[in-house]
Amino acid sequence: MSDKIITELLKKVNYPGFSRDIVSFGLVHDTKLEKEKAFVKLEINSGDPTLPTKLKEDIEKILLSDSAIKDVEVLIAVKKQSANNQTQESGENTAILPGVKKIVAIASGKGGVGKSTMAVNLACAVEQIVQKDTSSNFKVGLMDCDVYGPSVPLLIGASGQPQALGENLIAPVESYGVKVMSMGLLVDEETPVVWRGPMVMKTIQQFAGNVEWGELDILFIDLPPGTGDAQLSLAQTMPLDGVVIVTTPQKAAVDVARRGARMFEKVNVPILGVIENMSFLLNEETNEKSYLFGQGGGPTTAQALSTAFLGEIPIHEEIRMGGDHGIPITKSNPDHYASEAICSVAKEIIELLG
Amino acid sequence: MLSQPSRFEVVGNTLALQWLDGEETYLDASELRANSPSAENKGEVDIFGKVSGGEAPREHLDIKILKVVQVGNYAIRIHFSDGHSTGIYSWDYLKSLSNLK
Repeated sequence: MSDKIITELLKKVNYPGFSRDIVSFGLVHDTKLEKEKAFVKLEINSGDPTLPTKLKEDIEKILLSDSAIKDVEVLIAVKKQSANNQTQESGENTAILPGVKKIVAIASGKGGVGKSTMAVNLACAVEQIVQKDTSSNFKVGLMDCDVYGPSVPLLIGASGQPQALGENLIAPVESYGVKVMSMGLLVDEETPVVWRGPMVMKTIQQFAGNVEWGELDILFIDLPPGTGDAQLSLAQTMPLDGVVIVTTPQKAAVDVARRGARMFEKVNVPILGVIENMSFLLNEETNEKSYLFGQGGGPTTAQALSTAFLGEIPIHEEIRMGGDHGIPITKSNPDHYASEAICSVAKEIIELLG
Repeated sequence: MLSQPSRFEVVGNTLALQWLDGEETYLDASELRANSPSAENKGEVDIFGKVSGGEAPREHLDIKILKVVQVGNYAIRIHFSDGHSTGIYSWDYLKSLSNLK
């Protein structure tokens, strides 16, 4: 009977939760057999307080099953890792946006397809729908991650400097019941934001960690076009629940929309669906639709990405006017057919989020 | 859909992952360090496919995992005892490392 026997026996003890044994994991630091008493020394680095007891019991059981061993002494040293085992990338140790239930990004490949217009109107629509359906107090936020060309404040009529709540905390600006944060609220219109990538990342991290979003049922995130710093920073900073792709029907938009969407597949963010914006112009007298940018681009994109097609949003002067005046059409004219189209998309997004 | 672990833990000096399909992967600190996907380690590729920078492959004998930080929904960043911490290991990449063995 030698110490080796103990090691052999310990190979039958699996690390809790995994099917590999504690010897293979290199946790056993010392074993000794004196007369009929076995000594085992382990070193673990789990913060789980129940683990030492569990391991001790398992080891005792296995060792005592051998007739040569009558007594067992197990010593377990817990060496914690320098920080928590599982934290999010930024804001170490603190959960990102703890009060926010769902985070949905609005993205595209091509610019100018109406991402911000959609983001603003969806945020307003979602708030309205849920309020009406459940009369519960549904809280919505909108984070504008287009730091170089922020347009959300204009489109939703948000103005005024965000209030400082502390040294490292600012309050979002509220407009139409939507909590808004944007670079456009922090610098004046004439000041260009001339930054390299790392500053974009820092800003997005601060929009997440240093803005008092409070309790939100849903936070929409308006992204710049493409697959660059803003998108990557976002995907690395927060656990997104999904992304909605906006495209217009023509090939120039559809081809890059797919590319833009594939990025989110790579970073494990579910693609909730595709919105086709500027789908048609309706002649309100004859009820005829003109497909200015062609037809079928949205559904084709959705199919290529194996995701849902969320709907067609018409092109209409009133949508543009809503943006220019800071009164989103879903607020100024909720019964308009364009508003209804947006509301139906908003409903579907809420359903998809579950 | 991408690979996704149901849980992961640093056990001793090994990263242990359990995937949604029940399969398990164990990767030692030294192999993780040697295969760091960081440009610091692997270098960067220019438009001609030429690689610049990076470290020559070497053994990392006494390397330890100090900390593992989750990155979004898709990856982890590992902090090593030699100060290297720029490698972002996607779940897919970790799975491919385990398949190499």
